[in-house]
Amino acid sequence: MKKILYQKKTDYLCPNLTLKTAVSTFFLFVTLFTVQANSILKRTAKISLDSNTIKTKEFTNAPEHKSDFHSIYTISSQEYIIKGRIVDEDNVPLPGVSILVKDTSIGTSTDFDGNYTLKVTDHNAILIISYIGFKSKKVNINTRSTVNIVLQEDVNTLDDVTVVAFGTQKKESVIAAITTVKPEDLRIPSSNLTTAFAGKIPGIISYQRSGEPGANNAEFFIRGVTTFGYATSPLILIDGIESTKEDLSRIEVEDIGSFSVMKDATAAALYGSRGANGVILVNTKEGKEGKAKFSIKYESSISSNTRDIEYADPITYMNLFNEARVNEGAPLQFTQNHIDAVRNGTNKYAFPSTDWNQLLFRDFAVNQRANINISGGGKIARYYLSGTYSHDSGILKSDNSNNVNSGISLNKIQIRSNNNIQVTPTTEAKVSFYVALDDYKGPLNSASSLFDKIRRTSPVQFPAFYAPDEANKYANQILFGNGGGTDPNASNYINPYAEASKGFKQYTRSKMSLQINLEQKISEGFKARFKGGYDRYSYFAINRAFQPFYYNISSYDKYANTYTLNWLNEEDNPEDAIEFAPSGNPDVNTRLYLEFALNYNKTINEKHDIGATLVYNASERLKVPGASASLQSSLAARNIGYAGRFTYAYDNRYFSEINFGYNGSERFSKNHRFGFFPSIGVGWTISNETFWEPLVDIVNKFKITSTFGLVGNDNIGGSNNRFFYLSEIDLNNGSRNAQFGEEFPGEGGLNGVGITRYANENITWETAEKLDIGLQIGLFNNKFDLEMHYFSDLRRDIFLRRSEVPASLGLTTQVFANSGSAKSSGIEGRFTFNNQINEDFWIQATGNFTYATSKYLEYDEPDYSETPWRSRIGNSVRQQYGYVAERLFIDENDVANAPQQFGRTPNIQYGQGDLKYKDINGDDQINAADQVPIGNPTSPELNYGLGLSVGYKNWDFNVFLNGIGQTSFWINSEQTNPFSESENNGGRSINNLLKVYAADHWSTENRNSYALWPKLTTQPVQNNLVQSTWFLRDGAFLRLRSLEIGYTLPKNVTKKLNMSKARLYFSGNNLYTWSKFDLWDIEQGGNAFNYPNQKVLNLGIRLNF
Amino acid sequence: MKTKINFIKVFALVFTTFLVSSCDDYLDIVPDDIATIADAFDDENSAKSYLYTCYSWMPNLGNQANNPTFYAGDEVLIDPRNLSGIGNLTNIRMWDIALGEQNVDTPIADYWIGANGGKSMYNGIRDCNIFLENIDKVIMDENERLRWKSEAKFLKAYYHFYLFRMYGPIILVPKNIDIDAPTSELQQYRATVDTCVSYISDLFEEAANGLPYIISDRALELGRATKIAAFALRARLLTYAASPLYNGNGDYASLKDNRGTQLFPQDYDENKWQIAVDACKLAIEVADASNTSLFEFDATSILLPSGTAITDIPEEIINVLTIQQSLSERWTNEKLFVSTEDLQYPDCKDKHRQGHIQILLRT
Repeated sequence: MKKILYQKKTDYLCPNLTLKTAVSTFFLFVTLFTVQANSILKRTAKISLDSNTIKTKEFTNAPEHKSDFHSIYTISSQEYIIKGRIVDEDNVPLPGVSILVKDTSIGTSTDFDGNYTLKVTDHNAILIISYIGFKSKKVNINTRSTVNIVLQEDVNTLDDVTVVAFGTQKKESVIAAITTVKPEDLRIPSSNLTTAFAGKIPGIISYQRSGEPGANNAEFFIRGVTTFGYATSPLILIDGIESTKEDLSRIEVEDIGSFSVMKDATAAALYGSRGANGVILVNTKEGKEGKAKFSIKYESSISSNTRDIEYADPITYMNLFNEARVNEGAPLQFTQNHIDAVRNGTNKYAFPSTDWNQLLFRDFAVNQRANINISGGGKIARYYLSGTYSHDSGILKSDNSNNVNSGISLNKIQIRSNNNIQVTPTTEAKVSFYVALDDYKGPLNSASSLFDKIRRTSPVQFPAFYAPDEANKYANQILFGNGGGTDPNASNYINPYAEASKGFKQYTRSKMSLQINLEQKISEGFKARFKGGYDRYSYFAINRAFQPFYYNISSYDKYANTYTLNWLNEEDNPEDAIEFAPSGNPDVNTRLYLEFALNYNKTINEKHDIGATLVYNASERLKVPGASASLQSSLAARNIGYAGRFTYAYDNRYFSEINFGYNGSERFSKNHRFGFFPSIGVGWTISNETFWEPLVDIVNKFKITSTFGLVGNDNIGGSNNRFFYLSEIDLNNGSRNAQFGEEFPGEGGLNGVGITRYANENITWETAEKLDIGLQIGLFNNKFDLEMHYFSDLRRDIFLRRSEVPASLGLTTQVFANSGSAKSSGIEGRFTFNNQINEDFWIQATGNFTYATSKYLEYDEPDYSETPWRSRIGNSVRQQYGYVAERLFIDENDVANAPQQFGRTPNIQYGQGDLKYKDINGDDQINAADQVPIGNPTSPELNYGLGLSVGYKNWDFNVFLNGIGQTSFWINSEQTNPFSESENNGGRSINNLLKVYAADHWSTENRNSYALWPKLTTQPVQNNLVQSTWFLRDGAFLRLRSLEIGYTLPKNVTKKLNMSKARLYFSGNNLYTWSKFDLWDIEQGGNAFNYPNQKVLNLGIRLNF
Repeated sequence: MKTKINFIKVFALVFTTFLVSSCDDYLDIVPDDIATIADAFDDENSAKSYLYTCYSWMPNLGNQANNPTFYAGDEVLIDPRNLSGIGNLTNIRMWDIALGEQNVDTPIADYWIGANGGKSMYNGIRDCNIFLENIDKVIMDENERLRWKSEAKFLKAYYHFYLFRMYGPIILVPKNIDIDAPTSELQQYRATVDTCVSYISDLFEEAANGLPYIISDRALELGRATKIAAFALRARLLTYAASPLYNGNGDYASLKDNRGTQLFPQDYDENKWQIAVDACKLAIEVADASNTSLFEFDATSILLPSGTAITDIPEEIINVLTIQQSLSERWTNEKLFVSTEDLQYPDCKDKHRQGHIQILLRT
């Protein structure tokens, strides 16, 4: 048997690559260093020459002033000391302002108090003052010795620069569809950043399905869901390095310097095969020159469920359980005596009735968050250092009577350090460290599973625990209840209280990230950049549990009101000593990333703007194989990419751009390994035209853009299905064994070969053709800003499982092919309105919406020409199919007169009070051919947000609404099926009863054929559980996402305390929802029995020093 | 200054060339010797393993839970209260047939897709085809190779035969269809009965060429295909083809595919009987050359009570034992082909504990 003898020599980063890169980089920087060092030397030499040189220079420049000529004779040995102070319009001193004497190399900058001192030889020299964010000024010294200057803020230049792929670009010249989000807009009282996206970013559709601490990431898609393959989420880059959704969720919002979303082909093309689903680019803050700025933020919040699921009370439960039995012709489960005893509260252990929700969960949880950051620096080095701590506790009660505390406690700590070092005037290095640590302690199985267990547990079958009887009165352990139901002495029913108390899980997650950037200015407008990053992530969990002791009542003496208990699971040897329990597999992965880029920018004749960027990158990711380990899943994942961008702009009016990405990935066969992804864009800023000038005051910006290009998606298949061009076999497979020989068992047997994957050389990337047409309008000097885009995305070669592979092919496993294609299109828009009404009063409004629909163009399905409604072609990618339910059957005659439903298969019996379905194709039978597309897609097609902020003097008020539309979800009828008994690896259970079902169901007394729940039964009726319109609900809602009131302490107070700003604020999140559905939080959709989304009230304080 | 610029240019050029020419094999991460289908045919051992894989798809008739002859008829009843000797009731799929639960949606003993007590015959055919495609690459003894190829062909024919017997006109798979063929190619038509019969019987004949007359290594190979097995099965097939079920059967007049092809031959063909006779005669000749003969009970193997002689045993007893042991004895000269798939130890009390099913032909 052939074995794998040795690893391929170049399985890690190719040694040649490392060596070559290292050597080349080293040489390159040596060269550049030498060049710079030389030029510095020259300049210093120039400066150290005596004033004769200066004189000569001045002579050759035509003197502007008569007095200058005069001063030639006087200047040669006299220096003037010019002092001054530079402030802004609020009289706040500005540190780090650059002051240059025109036509010389004399310069300085202001100190922390805005003061500067300068020595000039010309008393009428002109000072050029510049400072980022402010309009530059030229001031003539005019023989003064003190020159104080007031600088005006330049609103435009604040947003001068937009972050684009692998660099930055002047905002005016950007024609790609990139949305920049202000980090302040993403502030929410939660330790998970992804929950802040909903409705705030045009082009992103986002919603949250669970509120469990540590597992509450929101789902988000850029411009809708176009692929139905494996990966639908966008590429996430943090400081230029690919990261996971988990990393994104943990970023502290105070650390964010810029947050950009790249939506169309031109923005994402440079990411080539990774960018088809859009790109989110987050850059963290860097230090700025100046006095150290110190900022503290602390928030404390109370969170509670947005909505609780209501279950029927125990008396109703028992009565309706009996009714279900009657419906089935079976004996009653609960005697009238029993029901009365529960109602009277005779003995709560012998006649149990438990509100599991109340027993296990608190009404609210208290969480805290704090962040401290400090930044500053000088000319040589700038720093940004930040530390964040957050504590989330869940709404689980932790029982004090128990030895085990299994309430939730999640602590997260992050430290980030970004350091910029100006090694030489033209070389800048940036070194960043980042560490994020999560420590979680919580119930043994996830908190979400407890919500699910309550759904599955009867309130009257057994109490959570028993008070000890005579025999057990010295017992130390908790006497958990169990048994009852159809098997009185069983001990494997789920007892949610026991599940919550029997143990706990601890997990530790850590992420470490190190990054080095080197930027070298080679000449004016031309620079080279090198980036190297190394990330390491690890996760492991430790579970500890004890075996609970389960009891039930063996006898009850009603006169003495005492009972004796029966120990149910003696043979399982329960032990309330804590033991180590299987804890799942640890997850460790590392990522190494290298990037080298060249950037060139030049303006020719002030009309032609040229820019060019070339990037080369390589990355490698290695991870622990996990549960289904195989050689193929253990190999590293590697990517190589080349990317480039060329921009040309004429006179700031006409813009054009060409991009390309050329990527390779290790998972495809050699012939399909590299893909080329070009894109092109054009733009026209009409408002800069001369003929527009009369309108400029009203419409200050009017810009049209259009882009088109190809982007790819290589994230197909899972980690076990990476190398589709290779088959995967098991050479020693016991199920393919054959035996021969006279004796049995004999010697003549041999294991055979099992095939787990068939080779397909042709598996390749998914390709997206993206088109974008955009319009940007600014009115009244940008008081009102509107941006709208139309986009379309044609996705080809979608990777999917071949669905209709006939058995005659004899395949032992599924096969895949790039045979799907889908198209999505839509519009998105965003407006902002800003008005400073007077000195004290300002108002700001913003709104955005995204509407994206999708449909299949090609799908591997059988011939549906007889039943065209079953075809997926032309329907949305997340469209669901099912039966059309008309009503409930009124009586047995009604059943007899209707078409036969689902054939005569024995387990699909139905009768009066069950669902009647519509016969779509008129063949007098209800079967799979009657399934039609029902409902809206399960992923919303419409997402919109509306925000309003108002400020008056020191107060500010902010409200934000977010809504979702065009989506549907199902009430899971199988999960909510009352009284049905089921058994799976979580245990055995008899379902609970929803209050709404108790109030609204079909019964023989009340034959309401439009009641919510059909006839009650204890055995599930498969007829009612198929996917149909009966349990379909509209998932649209409008939610008051946040409401915030803030108070900023007056400036004189803060000045006394040496602070620059102090703000107190109170906010609430997810406060109110408008929707047609109220059984549970509608945002969770069909995911009802999960840790609910949280409503949060939050008090916070932010201090800046 | 000029030289400095040149210096830079040269280095930039050098650097870029380094990058551009850097490892193409950076992305070539999969080790060369990873286990793929081609690897299974690297050497004789793994190729033999693949041959055994082809055998592993034989129907699981050795296990009475899957064998319709035991439980599907109403001759045997199971007491559901006392299952410990036989096993979990849900595993005895054939019993469901006796209970009347055979149905159209999820048939019991489905040998087409391989479900509910049946095995996927098409999986077996695919593996045989893969074996036949690749076996020529292996370096091995030519006679051995011929034998193995013939065995694979025999199994391919046998699986087709099994399907034909159950489903009548079936989809024939002379060559594997590529997995990334377009959907239109994946959907194949059922071949007519006549086409099936001629394909399968030709395949048996072709297989028989390379198969041995007898298995010489009884300890290690008894149970593998032989010439007589191929010819005997061929004869059976042709006899079926001649029988009224397949020969001019008006009951299946309406069974047509969407092209209007009549799948069951509607015209009674007398000549098919002659073909069947010839096949049987050929099989008999081969049987004679293969050391087969009718089973005779060997009286000397009985443990007699003291004082009784062999000649005292009545003839009726001998007859009963002959009939009984011709079925229950594992390897006899009468047996032409024995399937050893999924042998079990049923909890029977009699002496011959290993129950297995034979394909039995009394000539």
